[in-house]
Amino acid sequence: MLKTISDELIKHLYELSQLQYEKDEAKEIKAELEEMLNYFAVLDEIDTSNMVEETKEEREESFPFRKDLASGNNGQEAALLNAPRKEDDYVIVPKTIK
Amino acid sequence: MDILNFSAVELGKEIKNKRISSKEVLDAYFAQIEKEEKEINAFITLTKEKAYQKGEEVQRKINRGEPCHPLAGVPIAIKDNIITKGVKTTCGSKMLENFVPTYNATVMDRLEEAGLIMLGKTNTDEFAMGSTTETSYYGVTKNPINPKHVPGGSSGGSCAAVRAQECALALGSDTGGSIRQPASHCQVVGMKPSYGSVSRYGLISYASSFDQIGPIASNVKDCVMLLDTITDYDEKDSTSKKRTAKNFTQYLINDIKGMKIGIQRQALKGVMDKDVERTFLESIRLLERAGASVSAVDFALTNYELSTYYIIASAQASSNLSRFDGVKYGFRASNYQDLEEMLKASRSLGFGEEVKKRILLGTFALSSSYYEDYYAKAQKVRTLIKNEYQKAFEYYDLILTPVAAETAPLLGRAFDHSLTKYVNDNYTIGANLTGIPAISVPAGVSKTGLPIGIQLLSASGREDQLIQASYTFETIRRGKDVK
Repeated sequence: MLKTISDELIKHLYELSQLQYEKDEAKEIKAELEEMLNYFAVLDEIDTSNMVEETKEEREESFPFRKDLASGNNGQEAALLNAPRKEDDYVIVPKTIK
Repeated sequence: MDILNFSAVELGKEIKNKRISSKEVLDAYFAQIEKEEKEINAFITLTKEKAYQKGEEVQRKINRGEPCHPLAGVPIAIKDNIITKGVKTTCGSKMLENFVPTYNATVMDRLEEAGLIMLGKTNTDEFAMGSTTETSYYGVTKNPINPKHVPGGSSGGSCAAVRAQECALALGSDTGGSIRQPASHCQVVGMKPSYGSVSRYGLISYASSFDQIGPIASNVKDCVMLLDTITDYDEKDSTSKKRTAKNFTQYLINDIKGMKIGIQRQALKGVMDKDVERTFLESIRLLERAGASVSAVDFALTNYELSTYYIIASAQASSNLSRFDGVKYGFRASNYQDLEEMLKASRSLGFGEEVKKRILLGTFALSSSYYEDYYAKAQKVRTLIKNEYQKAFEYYDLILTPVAAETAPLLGRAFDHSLTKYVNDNYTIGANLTGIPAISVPAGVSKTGLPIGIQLLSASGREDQLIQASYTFETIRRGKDVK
């Protein structure tokens, strides 16, 4: 298990998390994450080499699909109700294709 | 007649028998809210107009002599991570400051059908991530017993509101102890039902395989009545279990003779506040005198629970919170050059520090280079932990633990490192990791008057055991000279 987080890794995590990298904040968070990772290293004490991720019940359980039928009376108006910027039937965002 | 002193069940009876009107009840509770809120700050949003409208609806039904649910007309507070149609739902975050849902959570439909009346939405740690309600964007909630202290969290607002008599009942959510711990700190009863028994449809997700909505009340009977109202299969929640136990009120039996209660040997060795330890040992003696047999049981994996929990919870949180990007709803930043900057700026400004920390930790655990060593590893250890609890329940009916290692901390200890705070979740996370039900009931007070609860856990689907034992414990304690 990892003990230290490099500057490169923390920047990469910010990118993956779609958060704005901010040097001072990142320095603080990096230190706290390292503290946590050092604590989590205790899991190395347990041998899980012959195990799969899911439990027996999870593998056997079937999650039912619902019928493909339109339901509810929400509609377009409801969908647009909370849009930060909208025009007619559209949500307005910066250009998506450069 | 002091309306506020009726239990929820008693209040329901008074309303049904027309000894009190729905309006009188609402007048009393909103007056109490007016009196207490300046200090306590349990609510983010109050829904006075809607409440009185609902009250009139309930009163009309009663006047017509129509059959009514036993809790019809009873006021309830709802944690602000549960979606309420037409009523702002913020999750304690700037990210959803102006978010007005266009649909109801399933639990809200159930409450409305039964005629309970929502008074407002209660304060919570941001996105339910925290155990003091201090990470809320809407200010801290104070503990009604001693306002210098936190109420616990993340359902601190709901628990404080019940304790301060600002409502008769409340709903909270529990991912790592977020109902049970504040219930203990606020001297109320709080329960996390078996995973899959209460619909998560409309609960804004933190960690999808841990989250459960649960009832909070001032006594066990009220709590169980509320549990009955919200428990049922829901096809809109793919993790909802079909065979769900119901009619829990039949288990309100004052008798625990012959019940086998286990104490985790390793947990006993854990660091505990002296008052918590004393109360825990007193509770064991009380249960033994009532006829239960209590013995220590080995739980070899106790020390691995915290790491397992935080890796999985953060990973799932990271995934669940990726939907908040300022595009279709929620906070959108105002300074950006392009779409990517807009997403990042909205998220960075919309989320608080603790939330960002957990997202980054979760992203780490899920990232391709580390997934096997962290997330996959934690899930495997989780299976072993589940097996260990299951094995214990082959012999024991219940497991008894403290709820928290210490009483409610002072407000403003937020400068502590996250890890120091996470360790306080030690006793409660087991139930979330394994999906088993658990309840927190008041058990005593510290030398400075802060409440201390105890926690009972049972096998999945065995709420009957929890209810019988906690009802008995509460009844016996009421017979004692307690504060």
